[in-house]
Amino acid sequence: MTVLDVRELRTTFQTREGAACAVDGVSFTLERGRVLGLVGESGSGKSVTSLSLMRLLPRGVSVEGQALLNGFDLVTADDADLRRLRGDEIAMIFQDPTTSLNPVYTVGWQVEEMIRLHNEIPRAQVHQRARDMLGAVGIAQPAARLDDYPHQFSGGMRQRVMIAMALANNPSVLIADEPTTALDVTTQAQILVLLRRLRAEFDSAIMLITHDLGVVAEICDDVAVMYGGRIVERAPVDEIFESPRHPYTWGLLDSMPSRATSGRLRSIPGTPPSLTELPGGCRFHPRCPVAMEKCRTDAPALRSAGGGDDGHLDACHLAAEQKRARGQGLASAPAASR
Amino acid sequence: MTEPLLVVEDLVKDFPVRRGAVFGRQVGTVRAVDGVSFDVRPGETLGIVGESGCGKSTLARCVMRLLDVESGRIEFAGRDITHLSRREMRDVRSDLMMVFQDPYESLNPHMRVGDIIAEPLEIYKRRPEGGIRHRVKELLDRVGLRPEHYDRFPHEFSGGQRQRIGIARALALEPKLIVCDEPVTALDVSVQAQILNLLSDLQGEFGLTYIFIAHDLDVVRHVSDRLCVMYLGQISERGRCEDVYRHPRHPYSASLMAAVPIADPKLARARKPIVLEGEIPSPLDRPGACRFHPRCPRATEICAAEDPPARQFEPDHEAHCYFPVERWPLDDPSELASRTDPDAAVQSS
Ligand SMILES: Nc1ncnc2c1ncn2[C@@H]1O[C@H](COP(=O)(O)OP(=O)(O)OP(=O)(O)O)[C@@H](O)[C@H]1O
Ligand code: SF4
Ligand SMILES: [Mg+2]
Repeated sequence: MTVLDVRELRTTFQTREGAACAVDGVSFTLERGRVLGLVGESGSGKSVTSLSLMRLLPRGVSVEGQALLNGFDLVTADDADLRRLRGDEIAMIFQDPTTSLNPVYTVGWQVEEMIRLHNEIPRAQVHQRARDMLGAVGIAQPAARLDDYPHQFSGGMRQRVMIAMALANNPSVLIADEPTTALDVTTQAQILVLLRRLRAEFDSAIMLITHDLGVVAEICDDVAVMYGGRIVERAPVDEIFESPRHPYTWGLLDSMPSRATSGRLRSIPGTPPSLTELPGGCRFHPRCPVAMEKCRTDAPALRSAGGGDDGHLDACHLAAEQKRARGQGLASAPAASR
Repeated sequence: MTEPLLVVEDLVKDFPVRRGAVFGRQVGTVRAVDGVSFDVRPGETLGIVGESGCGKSTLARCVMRLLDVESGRIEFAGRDITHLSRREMRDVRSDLMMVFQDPYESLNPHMRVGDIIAEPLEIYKRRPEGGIRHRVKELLDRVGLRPEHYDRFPHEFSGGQRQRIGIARALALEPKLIVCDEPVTALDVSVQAQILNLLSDLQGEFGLTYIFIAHDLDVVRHVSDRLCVMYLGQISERGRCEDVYRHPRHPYSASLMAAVPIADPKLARARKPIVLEGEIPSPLDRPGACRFHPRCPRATEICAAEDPPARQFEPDHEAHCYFPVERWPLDDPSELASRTDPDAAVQSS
């Protein structure tokens, strides 16, 4: 079931060099009980997408399009609506758990505050619920830990607290922006197990923002690949890894050391474009190994290369057979031999 | 067998721990590097992998002699450099360069790129053929930058290009050994791949030897010939890269490898993850005996009582553990907890 329906989201900043479109007509849906991975390199617009949905951008930044949360448009919501929705219907977890918890309040107070904001229930119940949430995210002896301050928690535990707060009111949508990037790999594994469990238990729709395709493969059901403010490919996770269709996705997969077939990595030439100098036509064309004349001038639309509705969309001018041939050649390269 | 280029023996490095704001009283010490030994052979890449705070960067800085050590020995190209003075180090320094994690912080923002790369040549009063400017342009070209970049400032470059500048500078004196501390950590995956390719090309061309430090196991596996796995200031396992990955023997290396996400959704779903309990302890209350015992699924009393001995496996593959992992991969993560008890084995025989 679709809980969030994002249509043609467009976010524009005013910079000294003029208007810069960080998110340029992005559309996707989030479904109950499924995880959508939003992947791409730095500056591709992943975080701006999530901040636009949460309406956490400074005033003066223009957000257009629609983002229907259970039918209610987040883009046009006023402050009162947003206060009601945030933390209740839609919640967010950030990369750095150290900066997103308030150091002067106890962990328990902060979790309880999140519950109180959206519920008129007796104090004892709020307390009970906070304790249950800490337990649910795997914090040992939650009753005792409620009185601790954030600095008494390790990085991984703080991230668990953030997740507990985000899920305290059982939101329909959870947006997690690089939730494991600041963590060690053994801690990351713990958090991924936790997210997997919570997806099943709470049945939330999760949008997971990451630059790590390994994390995507571990936990996502669907994937949207972003480049230069646009979604260039969108498909179920197995499709993205087995028959990727967009040259940028090929490059991302080729760049991963774990998928390398020889000493040299195939990589992508050049660097991701900056917001103020986004190329015209297909934004990937200056780095694309198979770019054609048309790619310089015409922006390809996001559509199904196979024709019809196979749930796999890409935005590239290449012929469908070319995409299929290359994508599958790439996927048949032995993935990490482990 | 060829002589190693670098030999490190039983290296120990402490940091004072202070309480109080500015002139805090010293209340103890943290042992950031705790008896580390390894060697590096000419032309190879030695990978050092471990999680945050395990002492990788401190170890690198000790090897570079940027930090003095408490005890132990560092021998470079047959010469004991452990206690060389700043002046005596001058002769060695040019053979021993470093590339840092953060290309934003390691380059002087007020210097032009050409001058940054030329600086080592100036300091060592090198007069390259064709002049310094010519040599710098050669270096720029070699690392994939353009001659006109000479007069620009670091902030005009992207992260990957800045890392290229750092590499050009490290190459300027034609060193023998380059210590790379997390050289690709701050970079996007496509740019990371370019830099890894560049480092590998340069190694082939100039016969360079690398120590490559990173927390990303996939990256380290890709570049290394041999590997050291660090945990809390110690090397828990080391060996040829293929050997360690084919069959990690230390429960920590095994857990680490099992925690790395697999970029293949079907394999990822099929795999049962090994999830370690707890997190890396703070360096202030570091466990004794085997440093890993509080988190180790195989630990028994002895692991908490005495330092585990080094066990040899393949030649040149050793792990410090009483109960090394018998087989790999595991069908089920719970197998990691079931060890063949050496005492039981003795009794039953
Ligand atoms: N100047 C210092 N004073 C006190 N303690 C220090 C100092 N530098 C490092 N340490 C401590 O030494 C230990 C090892 O630090 P080091 O920076 O080498 O870790 P690392 O493995 O490089 O970690 P990361 O991957 O996070 O960079 C850590 O516990 C750290 O807190
Ligand atoms: S549209 Fe053209 S430039 Fe863009 S990815 Fe496809 S082939 Fe490459
Ligand atoms: Mg470090």
